[in-house]
Amino acid sequence: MKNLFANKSFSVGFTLLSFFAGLFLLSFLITPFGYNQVFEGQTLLPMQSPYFLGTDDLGRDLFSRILIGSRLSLGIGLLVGLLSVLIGASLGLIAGYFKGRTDYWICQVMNALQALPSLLLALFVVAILGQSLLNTIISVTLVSIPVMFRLVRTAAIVEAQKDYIVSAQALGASPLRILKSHLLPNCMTPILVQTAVCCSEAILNTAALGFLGLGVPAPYPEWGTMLSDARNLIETAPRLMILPGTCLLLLILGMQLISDGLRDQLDPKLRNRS
Amino acid sequence: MRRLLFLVLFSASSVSFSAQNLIYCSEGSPSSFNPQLVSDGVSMNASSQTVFNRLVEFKKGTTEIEPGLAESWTVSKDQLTYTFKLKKNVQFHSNSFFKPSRALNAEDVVYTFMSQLNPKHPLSIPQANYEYFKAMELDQIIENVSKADEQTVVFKLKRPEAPFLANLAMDFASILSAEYAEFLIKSGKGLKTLETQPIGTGPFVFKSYQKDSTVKFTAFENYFKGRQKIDQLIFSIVADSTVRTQKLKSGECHVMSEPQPQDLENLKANPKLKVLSIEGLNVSYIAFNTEKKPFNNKKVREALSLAMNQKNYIDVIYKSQAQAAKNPIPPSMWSYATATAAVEYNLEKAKKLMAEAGFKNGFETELWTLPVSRAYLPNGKKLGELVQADLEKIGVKVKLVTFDWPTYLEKSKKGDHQMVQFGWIGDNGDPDNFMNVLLGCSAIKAGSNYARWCDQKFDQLLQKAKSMTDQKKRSQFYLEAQNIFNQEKPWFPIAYAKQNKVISTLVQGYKIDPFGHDNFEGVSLK
Amino acid sequence: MIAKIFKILLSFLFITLVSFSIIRLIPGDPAQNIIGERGASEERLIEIRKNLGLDQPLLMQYGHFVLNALKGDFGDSISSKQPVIQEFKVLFPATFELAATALIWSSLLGIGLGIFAAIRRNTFIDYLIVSVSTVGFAMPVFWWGLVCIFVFAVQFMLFPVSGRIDVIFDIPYATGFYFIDAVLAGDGAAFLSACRHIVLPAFVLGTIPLALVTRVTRSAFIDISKEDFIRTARAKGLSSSRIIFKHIFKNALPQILTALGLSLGHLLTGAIMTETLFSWPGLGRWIVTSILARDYPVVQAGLFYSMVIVFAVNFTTDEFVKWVNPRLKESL
Repeated sequence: MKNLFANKSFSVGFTLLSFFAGLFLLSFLITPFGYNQVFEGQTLLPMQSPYFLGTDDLGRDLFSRILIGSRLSLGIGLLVGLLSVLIGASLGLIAGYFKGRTDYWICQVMNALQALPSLLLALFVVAILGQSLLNTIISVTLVSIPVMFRLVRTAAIVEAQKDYIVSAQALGASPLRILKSHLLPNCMTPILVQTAVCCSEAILNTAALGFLGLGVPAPYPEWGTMLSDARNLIETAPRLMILPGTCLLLLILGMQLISDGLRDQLDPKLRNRS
Repeated sequence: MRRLLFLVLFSASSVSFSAQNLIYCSEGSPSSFNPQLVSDGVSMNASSQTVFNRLVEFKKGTTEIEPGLAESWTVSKDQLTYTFKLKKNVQFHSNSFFKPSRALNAEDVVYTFMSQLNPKHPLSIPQANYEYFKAMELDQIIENVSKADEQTVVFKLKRPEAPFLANLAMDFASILSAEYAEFLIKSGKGLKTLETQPIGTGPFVFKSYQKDSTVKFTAFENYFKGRQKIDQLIFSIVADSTVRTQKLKSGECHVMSEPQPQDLENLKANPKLKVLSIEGLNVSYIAFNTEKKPFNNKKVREALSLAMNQKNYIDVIYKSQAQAAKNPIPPSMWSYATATAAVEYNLEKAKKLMAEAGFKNGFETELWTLPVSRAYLPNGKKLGELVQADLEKIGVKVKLVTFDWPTYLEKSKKGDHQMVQFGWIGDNGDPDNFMNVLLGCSAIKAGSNYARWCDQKFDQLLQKAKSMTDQKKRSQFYLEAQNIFNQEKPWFPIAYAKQNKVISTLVQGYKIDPFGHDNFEGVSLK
Repeated sequence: MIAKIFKILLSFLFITLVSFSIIRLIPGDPAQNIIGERGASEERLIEIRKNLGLDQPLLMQYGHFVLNALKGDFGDSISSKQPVIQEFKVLFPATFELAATALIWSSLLGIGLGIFAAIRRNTFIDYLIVSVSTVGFAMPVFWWGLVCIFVFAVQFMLFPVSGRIDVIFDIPYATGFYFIDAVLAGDGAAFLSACRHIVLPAFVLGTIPLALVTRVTRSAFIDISKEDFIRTARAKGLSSSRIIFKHIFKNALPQILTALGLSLGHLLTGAIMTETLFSWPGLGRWIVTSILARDYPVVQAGLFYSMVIVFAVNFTTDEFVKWVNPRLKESL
């Protein structure tokens, strides 16, 4: 564990992530103003009190919007990561352990999901389901499941052949018990690494959908949507574009550094697979 | 090898720039090139204003009528018969598959109007919605259009209509070629082609259309008013207003539509550009779909109006480029009711009315936001967010929805919406053009009455006003009508905006139009 | 060989199935979705259903769909009323040009930088390259594009920010690729204009692949140079550059090629963003605007062609890597 922090990538990533986790928690405690609160006559103010980062073109406080936007980005990122572990990893363990027809059919479904790059797939899912917060979460989760699945399945296949599993089977342990108590703990490494990767991809995809106008709907201050709104104001108020964008960049960078660090420490063999 | 490259790089460069190419940065894609079927400025600019002419036309930059394809006309004493004498030797365009065999004659005029009037006319487009024709009630006014001789057309009306002549100067009354329509049917291409390959008599010939990219026209050599100085007219479709402004500044376009209010200071200061301004003959509004609950409840409409902070909208969205609206017609229009009270902003009153209407805890609804930037509403999305914030204070949760422009129009015409943003630019300088088209009962079927509001008393006042010619008498009726409008509140009126256009100093002869059109006839580059 | 053909056929079947079902998955009447709800009355709807064959059994509908897809007939776009295939024909070369340009510059520069960093391992330059490429890889391409627009186009007015070429040019359509067509037409000014317009978008689009290729090249080089046979080569006295290019590079090639294959995926997604940002008239922007406009015939065709392109790209890359590998082993 201590080794983990010694790893440069991990520690830098962890610092960044803590910063955003801090913002995330802060957003529940203190927000100077509502993210939707419009202040008459206070449009496009530069950084000054009481508006810490100034206001946007509708007179809303930028700092509050970024703060609450962190809830969406970090929140959705972690939620999707969790969901893809639950769904993808479970399916991966099942497929890897049971093999045969179960494996075959699940693999086919996963192959189908991977027929398109993740953003494209998410786009089409939103096209069908419509645009909303829930649908954004659904589509982003859907596109991150296959990779997790694949990784865990490979690990599960390798583990399932090992002696201790075979003996557990011989002793009559139920499949569920084997999966839970034996396979899962020994596949944790790839799962952990991939979770971090899934999170960073989810954050990126959510922002991408928001930027295209197909993500979390207004008035939620999602960082991607804020970037798209700021396009018109590049000349007059570049900070409206630079600040949310930098937050997005640093958050994704933090996640990726954590996953790199975990990978380096826990399983160097997985490198170059990004 | 190097020499070849040199030659290649400099060969055609000189040739392409001696021609006059005027580039217009437009903000949206046209929904169709058949002026009979379009109702939005973008499509009109790309069709009726370039490719077509009308019997009578507005003198450029004014609301006065002058002869167009008709060189003279007479009106019978009872105002039921209009006789037009057509100009001789007016030629139609050709394209890659059609060449006209004759000049314009009465048959073309008869076809243009009868196909819109009578769905059983052989050249009428099946299932088409001749929206403007119906919205102006021409289907109820015109009894017959007939050919007296090759160059004479007679319109017989069922009842006198004061704005009739002005109506004929509107875009939907553009004269199409009967020969072309017949050819399309015979060749199997179908009348649908009228929407993608227009043929008219106008100053510019349609060349090509690349969706979301460009529309290209070339000068019509045989234009009856004289071949234009501009050789190629190009519409560059740029939805992003920042990009349009940049292109104008860098000289990539010569004329720009819909500058953003916040950019105007900047643009005025630029020595290479000129900003033209005129009081707009327009109004912007949010229509409540009175056919749907809870907007059928007057108290709800009142409550919502009281909760929306109009002053803030005007400050934020329009800067100083608009006045607060209160009537459905703008102040520059005669019969404008100056006595109407300004729109009130009162949250307490709003909450009370909501409770009285049975919505103490509010409700959920949708607001459709304008996807294009227009002078009457430069940024529908931002306005939507302001409305969202305001209405949340009385418990109304608003979801913002938008579509691309052609789809937005289609769906609103069908009445799919709950609250929808729209605006209107006058077409003929007559109050009827605002109130009847936007709030008249017959306009519901035509699709342009987005509030889908039909008040019999209101409608009757409009009908009475239309049937007389004395402006003073007509004003009385319009004043009363505005009174009813303000009590019933089918809309939340937003603003009367100034009409601004920005052009390069290289552009000569461009006149800003009170109707908001971008017309390039008589325009040239230095 | 037969297995490969079978795989292709199966994939094609799958692709058509998915694109066929998408319209039926969308809530609402498929008839209205396909023709765009033009205020249709009940009789009109029945007529439309008949025209579109929606009253036939599903299997027949599917059959027709496949046949039409092979012909390239996906109906007409609701917003432009033009045949979808016509729009596709013009847009595909635009996306291809952009992606190809981005791929070429990013892979060449990426390999170069990766090798450079590997040689100068653990020096300041190496750290710089590694940090920058790590950040570059994490960067949301749309944010990066905005920053580039801000710096290069707004502040310094160096490059145009939208479109593929100045609108006054009318290059006669030969291949759809502006660079080729402009040369064929001898239009030098048009060629230059196309060049100016592609610089920023290709730069933005290629940044993430650049970062990826640099990282992979560098780590592949470092890994391989640690291997025994390289030590042997050094001991034998072979010159450094010979070692680098003959031995290390060839062994690193599979990993680099895989990275290039991966970056193709990034290019496709990046193209959507880049095209939207720069109003580049390509497939990415087409798909996004049609989803926003609920122009379902285009969405369907977009889905179909996206899957075909992705499949073609993946298949070709896999085959290419398989072909290259044994040859590499041979030549060593």
